Amino acid sequence: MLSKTRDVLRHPSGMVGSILVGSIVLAILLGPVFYAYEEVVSINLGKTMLPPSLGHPLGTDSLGRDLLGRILWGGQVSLLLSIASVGIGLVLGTLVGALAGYFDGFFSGLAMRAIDALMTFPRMLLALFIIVVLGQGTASLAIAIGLSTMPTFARITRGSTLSVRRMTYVEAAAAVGCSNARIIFRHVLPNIISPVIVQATLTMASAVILAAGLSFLGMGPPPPTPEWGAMTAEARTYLTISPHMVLAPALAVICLVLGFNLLGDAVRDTLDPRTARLIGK
Amino acid sequence: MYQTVLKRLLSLPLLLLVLVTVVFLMVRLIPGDPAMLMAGSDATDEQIEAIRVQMGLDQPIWGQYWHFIANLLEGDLGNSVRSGQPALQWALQAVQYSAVLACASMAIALLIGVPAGILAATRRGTVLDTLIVVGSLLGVSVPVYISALLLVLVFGVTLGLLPIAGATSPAHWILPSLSVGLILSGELARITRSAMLDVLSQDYMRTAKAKGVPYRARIVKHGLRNAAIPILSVAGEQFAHLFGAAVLTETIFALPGLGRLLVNAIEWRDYPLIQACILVFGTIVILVNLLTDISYHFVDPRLR
Repeated sequence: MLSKTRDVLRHPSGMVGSILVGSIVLAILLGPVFYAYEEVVSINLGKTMLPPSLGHPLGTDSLGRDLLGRILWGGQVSLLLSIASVGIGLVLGTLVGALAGYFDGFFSGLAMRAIDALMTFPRMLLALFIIVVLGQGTASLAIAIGLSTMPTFARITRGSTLSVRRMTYVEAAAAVGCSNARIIFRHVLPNIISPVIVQATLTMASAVILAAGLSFLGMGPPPPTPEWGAMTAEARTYLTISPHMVLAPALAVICLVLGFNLLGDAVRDTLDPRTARLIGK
Repeated sequence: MYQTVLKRLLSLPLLLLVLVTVVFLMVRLIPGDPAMLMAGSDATDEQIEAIRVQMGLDQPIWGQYWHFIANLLEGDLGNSVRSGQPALQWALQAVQYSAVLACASMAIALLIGVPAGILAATRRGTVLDTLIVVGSLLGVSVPVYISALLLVLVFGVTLGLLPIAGATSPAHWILPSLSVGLILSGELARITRSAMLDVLSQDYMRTAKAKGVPYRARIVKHGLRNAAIPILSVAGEQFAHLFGAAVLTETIFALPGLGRLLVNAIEWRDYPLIQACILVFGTIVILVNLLTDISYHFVDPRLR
């Protein structure tokens, strides 16, 4: 595992990607050191839309709040949202996929047909649909994004499970009397984890995009909570007079997504050479 | 070939029935009383009761389901709570804008993405290749709402060349379709490049060169046609996903399309309208996927 990590970091796009993601995560973690949460949510009408200065490196927003502070705190929301939603999608999808692959039969076939149908739906629409059912809010946003990424994980896990199910070591485990649960969790899943990790890294990128897009539409955490998509939406009105208010949170999203995409490419090349070859890398 | 196409066609009614059932259950799945949610916090009991009766929520669920389907077959999904208009008709009117936007964006994506991918693959390792690879990586990493705002900033505000809101003239479509098309062309260029690289290393490409097939014919007839399946499948998937991106672009450019209508309907808690929007969206996605599947059989003779 350690050597794999080193391979990813040595991979050119893995290096750039991990530097991007690493420095953004570091900045987000350090945010609370420089800015108190009170400072980035409390309105200060005396200092609205100030240009960048020493005290406010990126200036202030339309309600007089420090823009850099809001971006750093907002990063926490965006990052946590993406991690939580990818976690939800990964756990559920892997479970469904492993079960459907291991107990290959009529019902799992039916379940996979449903998952295939779900995969063809735009994630944005699936997420909006789930938000309608669950109501708006941060938790339901995470669940919505998570569920909308679940089908991909399920399909990948099922395919891999099908391919290892007939392996001798699985048969051997069954022969010495391992329970189905033990076989799935101890023998099947550890052997198919690579493609799942690859997918998880790439899904982080799309989860950040989706979370920011949905927050932009007002489906995210309610104001005054800072969030990159919501900040862009608030600043949109002032696009003509102070475009940097739109550009700063937008650039943050782009850098994080770019980082995850680069990292995902590197992880795929390292862990999953077969797919990497298939797509001509 | 006709057998597979027929099979896919036969699955269509089943898929649509599932969609209709999901859309029906959606409102019933919402925790709490949908009638109360729709009426708002300051509604009287009579108003809530009226909505409940109007939506048939006072009847047993099988009766509701039956009514829902019977009404739907007559093109009636109930009236929008907000405006009183028939919800389905409103959604069908809006979807026309989204369809124009989707087609224009897809055309831009194909016109930029596929040639860029071919260029990158045939000139592998050159500066041009690197530029295209980096550009397409940006394409996959920039969210649609940001590309839309950047285009508004550059062409609408700074240069003042193009209109940025509404849909009253053809010029109004340029920025919205560019903002989605450019983003999608990134993914298309990526897949075209890798599919072409795969094909270019095949033996038949060398054979074609050896027997003197001109460069262009070699790339297009021997190369592109064999790389078409992955490109087509990505394009088909993208076309369905375009209707998801429409939610953002239509909101930013104030296009009265289905995406914006859905977002508004969610804000208004206008459940009949939400149902109509999701039903129309879902039907389009199902139809687009069906067409993509069928088109494989025309492009790839091996599948016939």
